[in-house]
Amino acid sequence: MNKFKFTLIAGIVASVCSSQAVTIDFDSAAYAIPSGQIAADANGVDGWESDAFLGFVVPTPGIGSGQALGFGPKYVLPSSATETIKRDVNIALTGNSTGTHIPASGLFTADVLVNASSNASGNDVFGISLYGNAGSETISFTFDPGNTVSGLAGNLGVNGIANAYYNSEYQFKVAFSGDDGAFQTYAASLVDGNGGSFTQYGQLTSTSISSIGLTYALADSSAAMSTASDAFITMDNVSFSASIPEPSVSLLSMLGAGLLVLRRRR
Amino acid sequence: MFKGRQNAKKNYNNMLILYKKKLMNKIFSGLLCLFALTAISELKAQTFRTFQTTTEEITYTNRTLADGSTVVETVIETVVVDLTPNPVTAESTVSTDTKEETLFLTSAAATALQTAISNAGSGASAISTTVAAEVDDDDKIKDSNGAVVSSVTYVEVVNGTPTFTTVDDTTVETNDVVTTERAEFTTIVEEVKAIVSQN
Repeated sequence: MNKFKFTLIAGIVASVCSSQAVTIDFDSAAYAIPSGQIAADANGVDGWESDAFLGFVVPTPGIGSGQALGFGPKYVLPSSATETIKRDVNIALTGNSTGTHIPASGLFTADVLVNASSNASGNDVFGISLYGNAGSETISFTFDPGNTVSGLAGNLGVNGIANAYYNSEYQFKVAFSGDDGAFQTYAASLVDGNGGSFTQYGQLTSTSISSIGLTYALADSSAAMSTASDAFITMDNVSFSASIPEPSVSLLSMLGAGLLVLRRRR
Repeated sequence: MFKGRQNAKKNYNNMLILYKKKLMNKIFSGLLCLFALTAISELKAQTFRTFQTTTEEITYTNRTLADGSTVVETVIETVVVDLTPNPVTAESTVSTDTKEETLFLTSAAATALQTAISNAGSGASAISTTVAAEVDDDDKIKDSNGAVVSSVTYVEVVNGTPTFTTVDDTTVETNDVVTTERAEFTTIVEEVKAIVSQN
């Protein structure tokens, strides 16, 4: 009987409350750089997957606080023309669908910076992506020095629409929104240090963001790997939070009724 | 008597089992060590990329020969530096190869070469490429038999006294001057710059 009560209460509470949060702390012990090393291999650390040392933990990166994640051919050559470093996050975009017109929302943010090459020049392309669980859906911004918007200042083309700069920090910000507990509509922005931004909008069919990743592509995909620059992208301050939808009147009634049933049984 | 024999046999069997256990333990430990060593050697097998930079320099020096004629001693120096930063050892290995090639050119050929190099731009191998393309035997100093000279003896007047020095056109190569330096991660100097779009 007690088991039944517990299950009922847990079920009711779970149906009322729906919250989730993800943060990635690159200053945590998991990302510690071994003593004496300049940087640490990020592959296998805290769920990140990439070629060894293509992803690396960067000390004092110039963005965020303390360490950050770096990705690019700074220490090793890429093994293919396109590379990624990915980590599962499994952020649900659907939640409490009881009741109607419950505004639900979520906010993903991460700071990124593309560091210019110093030892090997090139026009390699970097990017940041959120990967949906449906098909190949992504929300992403790419930084492509070979595809800048002509007539505008800047040295990195962003999705062919805007321009950004090397060694300048931008916030990748994705605001999710929707009704009925789902928040699959998004506004993805790149926000600069002055508060200016460039935003793109879309609607996902994915019911969750399965992973986050940084991407790299050789400027000329048919060229030899040795033509890779030594530029890299860094990322820090990754966080996602979802607002908790207020329970509908019908749901509150259900909760009340459930509690009454419990009382009567006693 | 029979019981004693049985006990002895039992003891012998126990000892045999113990020995076998110890042997198994040793084999297992050995395998573990082998596995650990393999893992460590694989860890050390990581190859970090090497960045190569090539710099070239050319110098022209007028030399007066004993017969009063003038030649231009042209020296092309090519320095190839291989830099390998290693994040694990926190060291950067710098390997330097230097090649020094000497040519004895006529004044007219040296002037033409300077112009050609100036027009070739500033590529990493602009000088050596231009020299290879522009200089042929007609541009070089020849002896009375028409053969290209491989060495010249030039005259310098030092403190009023003529001094003779012989130089030859051999190519001098210095290989692998390797230095290892302590490396640090270069902190990125962040600059606040705006996103610019057509909107």
